[in-house]
Amino acid sequence: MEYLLSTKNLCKQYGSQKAVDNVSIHLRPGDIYGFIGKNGAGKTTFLKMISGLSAPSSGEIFLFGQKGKKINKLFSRMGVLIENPGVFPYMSASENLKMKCICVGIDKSGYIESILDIVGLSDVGKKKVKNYSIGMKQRLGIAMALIGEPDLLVLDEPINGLDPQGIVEVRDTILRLNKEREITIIISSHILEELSKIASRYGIINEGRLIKELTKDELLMECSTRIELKLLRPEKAIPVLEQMGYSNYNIIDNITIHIFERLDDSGKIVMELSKRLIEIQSISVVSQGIEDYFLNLTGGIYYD
Amino acid sequence: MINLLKMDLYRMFKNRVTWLCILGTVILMISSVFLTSSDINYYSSHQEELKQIEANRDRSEDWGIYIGSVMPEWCKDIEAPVVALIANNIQSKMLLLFLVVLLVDFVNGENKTGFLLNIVGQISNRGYIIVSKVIITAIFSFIQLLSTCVIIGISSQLFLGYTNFEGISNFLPFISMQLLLQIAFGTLIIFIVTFTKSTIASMVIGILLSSGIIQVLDPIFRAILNKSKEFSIMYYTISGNIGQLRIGSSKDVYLRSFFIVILVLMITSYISIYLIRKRDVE
Repeated sequence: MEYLLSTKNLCKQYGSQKAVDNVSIHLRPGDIYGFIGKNGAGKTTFLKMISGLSAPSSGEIFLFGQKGKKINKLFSRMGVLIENPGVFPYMSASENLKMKCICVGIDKSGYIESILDIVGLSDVGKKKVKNYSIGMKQRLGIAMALIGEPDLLVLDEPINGLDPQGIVEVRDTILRLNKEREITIIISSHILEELSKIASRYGIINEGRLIKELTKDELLMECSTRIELKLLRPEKAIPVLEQMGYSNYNIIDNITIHIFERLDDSGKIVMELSKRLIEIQSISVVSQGIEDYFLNLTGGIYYD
Repeated sequence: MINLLKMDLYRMFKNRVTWLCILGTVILMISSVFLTSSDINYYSSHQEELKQIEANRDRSEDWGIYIGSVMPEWCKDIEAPVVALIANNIQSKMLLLFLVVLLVDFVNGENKTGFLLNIVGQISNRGYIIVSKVIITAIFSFIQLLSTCVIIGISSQLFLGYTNFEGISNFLPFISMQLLLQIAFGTLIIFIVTFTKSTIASMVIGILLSSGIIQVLDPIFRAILNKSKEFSIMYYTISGNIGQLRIGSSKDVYLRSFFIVILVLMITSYISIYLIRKRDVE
C-alpha cells in the first residue's frame, strides 16, 4: 500500500457553489501532511469528507487501500479533531475520554491516564472541561482523537486561537505522536510558518481547488534564496552554467532556471551568456519566505 | 449498538439535567398531592362548590397541563385511591414537560458540543444513535413513572393520612400503556431535535405539544371532516391520549392509544434515522 489515504477528484457542492473542487491528495504512511489554505478555502469540508462525516458530491476516497463502501468500516481507524474539540463542558477530561472509550469498547485500566499523559493533561484530568484554557481543550480534543489507537489522525486547525506556549505544546504533541506512535497525520492550518515546522508533505488548497502538492524538500527549495534566470532558450544556457562550475540548479519551466549557489556571481553569468549570444530576459536574486510563497500561489492575503 | 447505549447511559446519569428533571418531577408530585389534600379539605366544607364541580365533571376533556386534581367523591368520606392520584398526575402531562427538557438537552448536546464528530466514524450504522436515544427515553420514562408512583404513595400517606390501594389490579395495563405513550412522545421530540437542530425551537415545540396546542386546529378539522363538537384531533395525538387514557378506559381507547404509539414510533424513528444517516455531521 503506497498511500494510506488518497483522493481522486473529490468534490463537494452546495447548491451551485463548489466548496471542494476536484481535489486529489496523496498521503503516505508516516507522513505529517500539512493542508494549507485561507479560511474558507475548503479545508474543513475536505477533511470532513475524508473522515466520513460528510458525503462527497463526486470523486473517490482510497483509505488503507480500500475504496467505495468498504471504507465505511475503516473510518474507525481514524481519529478526528475537526473545528472544535467535541467535549462536554460539564464533564472532566477523564469522563469525556471514558465516554469515547465506552463507545469504542475499550475497558483497559490505566488507558485513559496514558492518553492524558500523552497530551500533557494528566494533572488536570479530574477538572471540569469548562474551566480549561483553549490550549487545554485543544489537547483534550487530540486526546479524544487518540482513543482507539488510530492509524490516521485528522486535525483541523488544532493550533487556532492558541497562545505561543499552547502552539508549542500542541506542535510537540503532534511530532511525538508521529515519531513515537508512528501515526500518520493530516493537519490543516492557515498559520503557515507553524505548519512548516512539522509537516513532511503539503497540499495547498485555494477556493476549493488543490493548487499544489509538494514535499518538505520541494517547499524549502521553493523558498530558498536563489538566482532566478529567465531566458528564451534555457537548454542553451545549461552547458554554459556547467562550464562555469554550477551544479546546484533547477530548470523550473521552459523559460526559468533557479540557481542555488554562488549567489553573488550573477554578473559573471550575464557576461558569460552574453559572450555566447544567449539572450537573457531577466536575472535577479530572489528570496521569498514560506508566507510569500503561499501568497503568490493563492494570489491573495491568507490571513483573515 | 450496545456500546453506544452504554455511553448514552453513562452520559445521562452524569448529566445534571437528568437529576434536575427527576427532582422536578418529585417536587411537582409532592406539590400535586398536597394541593389535592387542600382541595379535599376545602370542598368538604364548601358543599355548594362541590356540587358545582360535580356538575361540570365530564363536560369536556382537559387537554392542557394542570397540577393537583380532585374527584368529588374524595370529598365525601371516600379515600382517594393512590392509583387514581398517580393516574391523574400522569394525565396532567407534567411528566411530559420534564421529558421534553431532558431529551432536548440530551439529544442536542451531542450536536451542540460537536461530540458527535468523535463517535460517528466509530459506529457502523448512524441509525444506532437514534435507536439508543429511544431506549434512553424508555429508561428515563420508566424511572420517572416509578418515582411518581413511589412519591405519590408516600405523599398520600403524609398529606391525606392514608394510602388506599384500591384498583391496583387494573393499574398495570394503564401504567404500561402510559409508558409506551411517553416513549412515543419522546421519539417525536427526538425527531424534532434531529430535524431542527435547535434547542430553543425544539423546547418550545415540545412544550406546546405537551400542553395540547394541536387542539387549536379542532375547528378546521371539524369543518373539513364535517364532525360534531365532540370531535377533537387530540384523540389522535400522543399527548391527547396521555390525557385521555384512564385506568378504567375501554378496550377501544387502549387499542387506539396502542396504534397511535406504534404509528408515531415507527414514523418518527424512521425519519430521524433517515436524517441522521443522510445528513452531513456538522
